Parts: sequence; structure tokens; C-alpha cells
Amino acid sequence: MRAVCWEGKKDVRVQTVPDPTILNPRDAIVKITATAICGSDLHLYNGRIPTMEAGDILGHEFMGEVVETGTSVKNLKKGDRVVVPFDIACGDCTPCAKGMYSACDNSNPNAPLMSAVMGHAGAAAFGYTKTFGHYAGGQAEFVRVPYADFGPLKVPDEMEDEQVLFLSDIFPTGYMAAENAGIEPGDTVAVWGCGPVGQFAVRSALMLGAERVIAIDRHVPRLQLAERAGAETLNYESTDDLVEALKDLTAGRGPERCIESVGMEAHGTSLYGKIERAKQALKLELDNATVLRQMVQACGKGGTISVVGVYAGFIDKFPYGTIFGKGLTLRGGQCNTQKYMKPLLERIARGEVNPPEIITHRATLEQAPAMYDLFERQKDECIKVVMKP
Amino acid sequence: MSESRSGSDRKGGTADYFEDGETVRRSVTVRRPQIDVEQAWRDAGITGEATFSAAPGDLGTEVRVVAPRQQQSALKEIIGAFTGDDPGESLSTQLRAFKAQLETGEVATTHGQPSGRERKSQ
Repeated sequence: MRAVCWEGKKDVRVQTVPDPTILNPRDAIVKITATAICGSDLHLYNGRIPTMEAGDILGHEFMGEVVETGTSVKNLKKGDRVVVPFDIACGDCTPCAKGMYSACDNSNPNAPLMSAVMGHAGAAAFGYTKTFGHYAGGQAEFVRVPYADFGPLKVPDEMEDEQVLFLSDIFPTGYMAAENAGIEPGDTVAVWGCGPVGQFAVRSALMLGAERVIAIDRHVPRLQLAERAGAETLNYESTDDLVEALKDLTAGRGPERCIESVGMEAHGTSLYGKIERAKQALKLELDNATVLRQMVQACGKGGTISVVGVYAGFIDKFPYGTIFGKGLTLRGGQCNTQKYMKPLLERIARGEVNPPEIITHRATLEQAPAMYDLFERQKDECIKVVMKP
Repeated sequence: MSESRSGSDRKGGTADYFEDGETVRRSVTVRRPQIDVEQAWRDAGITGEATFSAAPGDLGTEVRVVAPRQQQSALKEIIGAFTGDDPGESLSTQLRAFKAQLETGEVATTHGQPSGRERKSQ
């Protein structure tokens, strides 16, 4: 089959590789009908996250048609259309029983690698480093899906691929970000980053009852897309002091709920931001905390900071004293995708949200290298790339 | 268990964790009833002395195992001190597999999956 392989920093290639096979009784093989490039794939593309190996098949946002099932898979049959959650969860362990699927005890064959760094291992994910299990990803013609009797969601015939593809990651991730923010009636929510996850965070915050949503970015098309969803917008590149601007917009209170959907490669225009980027380039620091520091400063007293952007390790000079002094709550984590897929599918079916509106580029799998380059460089007003094998 | 030289010594609610140089101690919580876990343990073939107790909050069964420490060469010990190699790695791996098999009916693996590396070796 053809598959998008990571070969090194800024080097992805479409290769011919062996077809996947059933390895465990709960596996299924899915023929991919649509797959997307995630912003977090760009962290791999840019060589920011350790433990990728040349030849790894990328991709954790995908859907398709079941072509084969293991002996224990009774709920799926050949021909079923499914969307597959990016995080791999068994459904049987204690974290899964509590709905914390991204903390699954059993799905990560390389759990010791993650435990050594983090104390405990979280769930595996498709196409996302040895640390996250080293599973082959879904930017390919076929993919092996472990625990297929638990994770994949069957898609109604009347729904198009593009309507449901983003249930694999970015819609649930944006929704969980809003849910974790603990939005209450009357709250003002600020969303840092208007990429695909930020777009869904904006829409989810409004769905959950936010009075105002302020969307922050520097890319005008992204701000315009957030504005069309009902957000006020703030272009940080044309703002002298983002924290003061947010205070001004909220008459001194600061936004009560702050959502981070940027991650470890924040751009940032401040001196701190530039220093952080230099440290990252010199491999002196894994994560750029520019946005997190802004959020801690900007968040209103007693407010909540909800983080769904990807961070890989340790952060220098994190202002915990400010969190303490202002009584802030800090929440974060990989999305528990399986928990949100069905209810969000129902919201899509009811027309409450229109996921395809964020797609800016449609391509074939063979065009993946060009699409990675375009997405990474933010060329052609790229927001979201969907590929069909 | 009282003869084990590695373990968790509870006195008046205070626990101290210690390991000597001859044994390793590892533990795992399995989300299954204790009777099922004990029965499975008898067929698991894992070397070591196991104790079982109900986990709090209906979380399943706590399994604690003390096993002979794998003897390593002095050189490997020295290298391991720098690389963070776990002397109980084998026991940890076996306990993870034991838990996974009981909870899910299989053990997660990626051995045999495709990658671009196969293409290169062809």
C-alpha cells in the first residue's frame, strides 16, 4: 500500500510499504477513505518531538471502511464506515472505566518509555512516536486499528466523510478544551490559537454557554473564520500588549476562562517569545511556554486555564506563583476522544456545527509532502488539509 | 512476604519503600476480582512471590510481587546506572502483560505492522 512516512525533520515521503495485517483478536483493518494532517503532526514534521524513527507511518486523523476484523470483534463487519479516535484505548482498564481514555493502562506497548519521563504512561496514539506506542498511522491506504471493538464509531450512511472526519481528534479536542474550562453563564472565554482545534474550541465554548468568546491569532483568515462562528477577535501582532488588551476588553477583569490551542511551537512576538524560540532551536528547551505565560497573566482571578495544545516535556520559568496568587485552576491533557465522539456526531447531525467549513485544502495522499510544507509554512491561507488515498 | 528483603514496610500508617540488591519488587492493579486474578496467576508462570489484596474503591485487585533480582555483569550495572535501566524490567513487563491479558484478553503489540523501514530492507 501507499503510506506517508516520516523520514526526518521536514522530510515526509509517500512510500510503498507492506499492507497491515490483523495482529491481535480485537484488531480490525480499515481502508482509509479520508485522512487529515493535524497541527500536532507539524510538531513531528519540525522534529520537535523525540522518538520518531525514519520510516514511521504518520497520521492520527482518519476514517474509512472496515475490510477485515479479528476474531473478537463482534460489533463491526466488513463494509461498515467508521471514524477512528486518534488515541488508542482498551475500554477495560480503570482509566477507561472512568472515561479517561487517553490515560488507558493497556494500549501502549512502550509504556515504560513514557513512564520513565512522566511517572506513568498514557494511552498510545496512531502515528505519533515510539513514546506513544509506535503504532502505524492512518495517512495511508489501510490501517490496523487495535481494540476495534471499542474505539471506532460507526458513521450513518447519510453523513459524508468530511462531516465526521474531525470526530477523530480536533472537534472532540476543542470541545474537551471548552468543557475543561468550566464555562459558566456570563463567562468571557479567550481562545489562544485559531487553528483547527481553536476553531472547534471557539464553537464549543459558544455551545456550552459562553457569553463572549475572544479568539486570538495573527492569521487574518483564521480570525475571520472564528468571527463567522460568533467570536470577537484579537490579532496579537497588531496589539502592543495582549494581556492589557484582554483586560481592556473585559473592563479590567480578564477573561474568566482561557483556552490554549497552540502548543509547544508558539510564535510569540515578545522578547520572552523570541528567547524561547531560540532555546528551542538550540535544543535547550523542548517546549515554548510563551502562550502559557500570557494566559496565566491574562486570566481573571479565580479563573480556569484549559490546555489542549501539545507540549512534550519540561518548561522553563513557569509562573506558578501567579497561579497561586490569583487562585487559578490549570487543566490539561490529551483528549478522551471516545467520550465525545457520539454526542458530537449528534450535534453535527442536528446542524449545530458544520465541520467542513474549516477545510481549506483537499488533496490526494500522493500530495502529502507538498501539503505538509504548505500547512507548516501557512501558505495559501491553509487552515486544514484533508487527503483521500 | 515477611521474609522478603524488598518491600513496603508499613508501621502505624507510615510506609517506607526499600529494595535490597538481591530482590526486586513490582506491583500492579488489575481491574478484575481477586479470585480471578489469583487463579490466573497460578497459570501465568511469572517467577516471584505474589500477594493479593482488594484495591480500594472497587478498583480491582492489587498484586505485589517480589522476585529474585536478575544478576547482571558489573559493566551492565554501571551502564544501567547512567541509562536508567530498570533491574526489574523483566518483572515489570510480565506484570503489564498479565494485567493486559486479564483486563482486555490480549497484550498490545506493534510487532509485524508495516513501516517505511520494511520497504528499505526489501
